Amino acid sequence: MVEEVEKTESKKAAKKEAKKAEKAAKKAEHKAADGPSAAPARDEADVSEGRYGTLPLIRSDPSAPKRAFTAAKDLSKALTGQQVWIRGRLHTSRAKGKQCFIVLRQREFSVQVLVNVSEAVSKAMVKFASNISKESIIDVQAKVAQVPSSVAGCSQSEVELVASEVWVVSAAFPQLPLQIEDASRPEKPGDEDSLNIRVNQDTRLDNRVLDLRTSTNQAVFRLEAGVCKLFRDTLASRGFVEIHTPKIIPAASEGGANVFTVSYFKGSAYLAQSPQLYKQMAIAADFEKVFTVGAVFRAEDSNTHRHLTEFTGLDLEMAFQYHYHEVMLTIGDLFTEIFKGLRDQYSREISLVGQQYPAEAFTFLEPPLVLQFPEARTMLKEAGVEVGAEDDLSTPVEKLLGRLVKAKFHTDFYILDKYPLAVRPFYTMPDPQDPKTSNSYDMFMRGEEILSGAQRIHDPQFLTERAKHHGIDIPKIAAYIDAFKYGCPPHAGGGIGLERVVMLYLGLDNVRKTSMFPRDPKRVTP
Amino acid sequence: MKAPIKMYHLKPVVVHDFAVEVPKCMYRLESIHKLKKVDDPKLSVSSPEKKLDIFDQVKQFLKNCQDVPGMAELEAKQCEILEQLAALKQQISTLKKDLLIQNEPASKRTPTVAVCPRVVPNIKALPESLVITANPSSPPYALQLVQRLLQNEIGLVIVSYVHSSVVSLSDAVKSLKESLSSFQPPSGVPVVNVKLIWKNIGSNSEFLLSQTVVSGEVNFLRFLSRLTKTTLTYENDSNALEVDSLLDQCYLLVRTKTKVERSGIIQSLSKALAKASWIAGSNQAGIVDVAAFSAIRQCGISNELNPNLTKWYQKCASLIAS
Repeated sequence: MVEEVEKTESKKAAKKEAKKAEKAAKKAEHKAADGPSAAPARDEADVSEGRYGTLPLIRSDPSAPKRAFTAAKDLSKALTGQQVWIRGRLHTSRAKGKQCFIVLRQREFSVQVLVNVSEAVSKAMVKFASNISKESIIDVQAKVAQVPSSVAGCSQSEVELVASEVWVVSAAFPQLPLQIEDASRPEKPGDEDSLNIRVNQDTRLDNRVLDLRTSTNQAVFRLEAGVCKLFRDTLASRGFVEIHTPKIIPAASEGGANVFTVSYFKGSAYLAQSPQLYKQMAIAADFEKVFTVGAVFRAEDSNTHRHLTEFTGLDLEMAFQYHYHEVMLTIGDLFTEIFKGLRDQYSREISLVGQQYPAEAFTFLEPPLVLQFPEARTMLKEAGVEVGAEDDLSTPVEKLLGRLVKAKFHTDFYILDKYPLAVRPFYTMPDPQDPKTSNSYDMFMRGEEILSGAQRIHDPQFLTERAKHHGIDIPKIAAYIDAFKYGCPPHAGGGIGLERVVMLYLGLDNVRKTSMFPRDPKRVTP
Repeated sequence: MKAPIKMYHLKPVVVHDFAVEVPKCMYRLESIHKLKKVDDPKLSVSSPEKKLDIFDQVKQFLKNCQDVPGMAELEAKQCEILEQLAALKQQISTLKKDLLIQNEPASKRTPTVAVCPRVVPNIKALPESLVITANPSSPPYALQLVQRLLQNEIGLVIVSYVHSSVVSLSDAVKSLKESLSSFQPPSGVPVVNVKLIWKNIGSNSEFLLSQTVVSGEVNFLRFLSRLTKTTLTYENDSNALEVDSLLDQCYLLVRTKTKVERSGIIQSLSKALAKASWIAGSNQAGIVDVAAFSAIRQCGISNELNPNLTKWYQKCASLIAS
């Protein structure tokens, strides 16, 4: 539990260290001065002897007491009068004469604990309780009591705990690099009156262990797990098979420029920037419908709010009969299922995140809205933005389109179908009726692209032809083309970035907020 | 044009006489000035059906102000005008006859010209696609009726979407959704694609008209009737005002809360129906029938109707079934 506060790499850190040592020394001095005055108190036979203190390091001793612990979220009026054991983090403590108020936190739940001088509780015990450092883990035995007026700032506001035993299980360093309250303060634009202390993004990421303790972050990552679970459950129920693809690959799978090179014994290899080739090979090997969840690496030096160098990719590929819309609509339905699952099962998490980062609730339609590329162009034209018939949409234009679609169709999620062929990769199947368009689609959330997919060319000859047309060196992609040599069903697919989907679903402004330990061009720690 | 002092003669910088393209993003209103120029023979040639409107309007005008002084003079004047018009009609018919005899191809073209303005505005004035948002607690049954009533004039192809604010749809809404999306307009009819979104909104339904929200089912019907010339169109009817007020009543009916409030509105509908087969006295189902039927069905108060209205209600319901 001890933080990596002590990393002494830079001068700054060294200075901090010196200061800390100085402070500690002062404290020790102070304590020594206090010592004699505290001693007489102890002389008067501590009535709470053996009811408080620091527990020895728990090493799974067989003789350890067996206790049933109660979860903070279960504390309610119904338990009034009962003795409970509870383990949690000391969120805040406040001593007030003969009383000490402690807020005990368990993830996003909190409860007030009162250590009050009484027959069984001595002054020394109250003093001990008030001196426990913030974020320490403590065990408390207490009686549940009703409170006359609800406790402000605690999730269990109907009751409080009157402590009879307090034990420190794991003490935290007294100096925290960031305060949990600061890190979880709501961001309300235009609210000048409230405290304006914020923890900046880098401090958060440097001390991610502490930062992740905020209820918002707890909710974010629970929701992220939910997206992953819903993705798996929905696809599994539709007959998809989960596969695992290699992350060390011999050659660049897509473009080639943005791959990480790793040394591989005597030669070198690359980190996979997409499982696409392997998904397609699984299709060629008759798996029909496959999906994969795994890390994806992009060596793009782009420091934006939505790019990471490593992220979790949720990819799927599916063989179809005659029309790639079978696949496109399956993916669309998959998203609807995910969104519905989040709306129905994760509403508490969504509202928790909303308390700190207010955002409009995510809206979607069932079945999902499908727009054709020309339709999108006319909508943009009406709004005064001309997009050429064979041009891609730039990021600001995509955002604008997102707003237009939201205003007209009340949805944050939509599918844009039939992209111009010129802006898609060489393996994209051209439209049979119009050589300038392709059988490809993008999906958008809140005006940002989250998925880009298409029907892939499954004929080796045609694929070679298209690759030549794009000026690609054929020997370099020989392995890719060879995969289709022995017959392959027509197929299409796509992939999404988990972090980006969660970010957009929650309306957050930075993908680093939804990546537990983000990797970007400027950060590979912690 | 001629300047008093000798100066350069400049060509006009701005040329005025070119066709101005009117934007299509707004309501197209019937020109009110056209009606005044009816005695211009040229105009009456191009739109012979306009004359009927004038007759009706004048008649109604006369009805409304019977005890206005100078009535006799007006009457005399009207008679004069009528005579003139009759003469004009005579002229036109002779002209037509002449044309028929003299020039065969020209006569062939005239019927197409007569048809064109009827059909072309039908498609052009309406946007190709419409997005309507509807509250599942008061489903727009009017769409169902309109779809079937106008099936030979406008093909409404309706695709339903469920918005994320709606968790589940009731059975009544589901069956309406089914019926709307399964309807196939006959081929050859101009098609309007409607995207119907079920969403929790305040009013019973609304749609977006180039960035302006128009709310209320009744107002959608008005929009539809103004942009097209169909059986729903009522603006040039003699009882346009009555129809408008009845439509407002239907709008209010959906918002009523007590039975007393409702009964007042139902009574006014019943009065408008009287002994006729359709409300507002026309011989076929019109806009008020559609609006009233939908409103009554939304409120689920078909049992609060009097026998006469019940008969009418069943007749409306049978329109959907057919």
